[in-house]
Amino acid sequence: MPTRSLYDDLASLYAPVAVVVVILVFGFVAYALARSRRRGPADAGLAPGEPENNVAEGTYVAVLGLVTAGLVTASFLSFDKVGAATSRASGAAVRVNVDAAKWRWRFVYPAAGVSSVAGLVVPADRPIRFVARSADVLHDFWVPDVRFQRQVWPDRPTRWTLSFPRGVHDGVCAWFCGLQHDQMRFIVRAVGDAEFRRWLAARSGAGRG
Amino acid sequence: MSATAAAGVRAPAGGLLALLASTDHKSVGRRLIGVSVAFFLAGGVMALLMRTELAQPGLQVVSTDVYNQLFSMHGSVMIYLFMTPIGLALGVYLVPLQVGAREIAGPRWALGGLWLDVMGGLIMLSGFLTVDGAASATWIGVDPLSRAPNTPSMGMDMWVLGVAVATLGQTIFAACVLVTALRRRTPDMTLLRIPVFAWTMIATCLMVVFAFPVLVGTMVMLWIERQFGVQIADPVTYQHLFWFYGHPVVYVMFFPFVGAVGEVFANFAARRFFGYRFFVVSILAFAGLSMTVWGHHMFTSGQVEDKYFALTSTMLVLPAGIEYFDLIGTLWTGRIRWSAALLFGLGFLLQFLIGGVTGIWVAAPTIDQHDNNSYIVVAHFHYTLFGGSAFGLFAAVYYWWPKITGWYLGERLGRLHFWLWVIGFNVTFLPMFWLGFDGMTRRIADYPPHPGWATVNLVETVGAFVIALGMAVFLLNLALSSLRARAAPADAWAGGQTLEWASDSPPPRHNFDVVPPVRSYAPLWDLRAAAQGAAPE
Repeated sequence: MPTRSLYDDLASLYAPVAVVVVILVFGFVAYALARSRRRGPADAGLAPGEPENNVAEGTYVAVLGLVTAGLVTASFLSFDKVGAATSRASGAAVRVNVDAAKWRWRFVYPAAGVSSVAGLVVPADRPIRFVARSADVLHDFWVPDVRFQRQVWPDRPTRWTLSFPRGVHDGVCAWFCGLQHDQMRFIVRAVGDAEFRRWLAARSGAGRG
Repeated sequence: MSATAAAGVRAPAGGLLALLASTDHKSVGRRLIGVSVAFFLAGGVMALLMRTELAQPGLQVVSTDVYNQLFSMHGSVMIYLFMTPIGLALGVYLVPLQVGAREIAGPRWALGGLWLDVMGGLIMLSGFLTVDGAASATWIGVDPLSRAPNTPSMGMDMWVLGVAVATLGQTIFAACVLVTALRRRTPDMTLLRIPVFAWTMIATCLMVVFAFPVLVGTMVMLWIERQFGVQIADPVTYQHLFWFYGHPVVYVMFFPFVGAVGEVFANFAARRFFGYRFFVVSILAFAGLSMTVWGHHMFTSGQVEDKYFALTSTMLVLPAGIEYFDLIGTLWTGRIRWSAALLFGLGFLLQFLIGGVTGIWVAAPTIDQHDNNSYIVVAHFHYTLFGGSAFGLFAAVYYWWPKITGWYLGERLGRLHFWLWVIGFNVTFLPMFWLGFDGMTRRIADYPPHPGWATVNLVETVGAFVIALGMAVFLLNLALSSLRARAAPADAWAGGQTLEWASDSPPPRHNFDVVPPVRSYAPLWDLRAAAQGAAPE
């Protein structure tokens, strides 16, 4: 399953829980304030109320524990699916070496002997295998449309598999990498298989990009 | 005078000597608060410059290089020099009073810590005076960007040194507060009679003494690497070492204000703090758990066991949930008296909630691998640190001001300050969740002409200036109130529950002539209840 729908699935569980929690807390605070009677400091009597209620609080903690266990379980299941989708090396349609450096992205297609500094072109909806390295500092490959990013290191390769829906997607370096970090962007063009082959052939004919 | 001379005690020095060398914990605490607020104003000016630059796409106000210095130093100043030390400063001032001690443990050490904190801050900030400007490798000094070949500026060296020196100072006065709370309590104050705020300071200082030395060591390592061109740790190791400090520090900047707001709520609800024992256990569990979550900053590194850190991070729901239960429980059956301090406490409670909930949100690796390094993160931690901690801090400021100075801050200007901050803060930071989700990365001087981004950024910039206006109102309040100097009695809010309210405002050098009996975590509440003939319900 694509990373984007995995993100959306988990978010569609987490978001309602978050909204309910916020509504409950705001509601309880508003109610507590509304029902208290205002007294001036001169006649400030001591307010009634138990110093603690350990049965109520213990029950509350148990409920909280169940909610937490549910969230963690959902998060783990989702993480495993993301792992299955993004770490499989076999069956990839194309391999792309990502060469990140201050402050540009170069995409190398080793099978075709092609490289591109003008953006990433891939066949749409096919698993693409990436092997990324940095020439200098840390960078971070992020394509917001597919809800996925990975840090790119100078001292070790980062590998992942990703597919892109047909169309044009923005990509950025998400990790601050120095002076021109804000200009370190790229474009992903996900095209049909035939168009991708034509693009690759034109590039390899031209020698390099 | 003859009595003190006979006892061989010198009269306290005044003037410049006292400013530099007084070892009275109240004086150390006051100076630390003052210095931290000065750093806060400096960090705020940097934020305004950044927001002005971001109001429109393109570059209008500063260069990319200066912008990179500004955000690096804004984060550094706010975390290393404002929120961390000012939380500890409240502890330096208040913990000896709350536990009925005449003095802090290790008063000269505490003074030395203050000097180191100030020196570290000045070293770090004087990077702006050097030719290449201040540090520009983010507040985390991320490796390898922070190495000499990538960021050769002298300002970067001064940042490394400044962080190490200031953090060493903070470690020292945190140790003084910790020992005071554990070893210098009045004899009848057992562990489960320690006030709520003092307990949060114990948890805070425990985290400081375990986590902060790691940062000092990391900075020494980075210093050696920069000076001698050697590699001691690889980039992954640097991230581990940094975040081993960098996540506990988040709670060092949170716990003191939880405790402060707890005291404010109890006082202005005219009842005991609710759920004390659960609270104490939760704050200690929180501190322990805080040492196990650092890897959630590294989900996108592909170099950590994501599930472990997702588990520990999500588990923070439990202690945080208990604290919310107890704070709301304190309001629940209270008789509320409205005040600026109470309003800031409520702001803390409700705005931190947004920060906490979004923290659980990004604790899921699936979600974090989109949200990380985006404006979602910027919004999230400003909801915790500004909407939460800074509001909690000002709850503490309005609440303890009459105790510390002997006179009150104006209520009406205090409430105006509150409302300006609520509006300014939310207008500035709420839209950042959308910007980040839509793909805007943090730490950029310029952004592409994406639909809607320019408008949203402009609105946020207006919000930032409303925050600045609120801060100006606070300073005006301070000036006007000091002229009027409406004198505060010992129990300045007529409902104080902890020992500091039994001493004069401000307290004498030796804190107490007589320490009242302590039978619970709210000793003055007990006395009042006994006087009214009402058994504590």
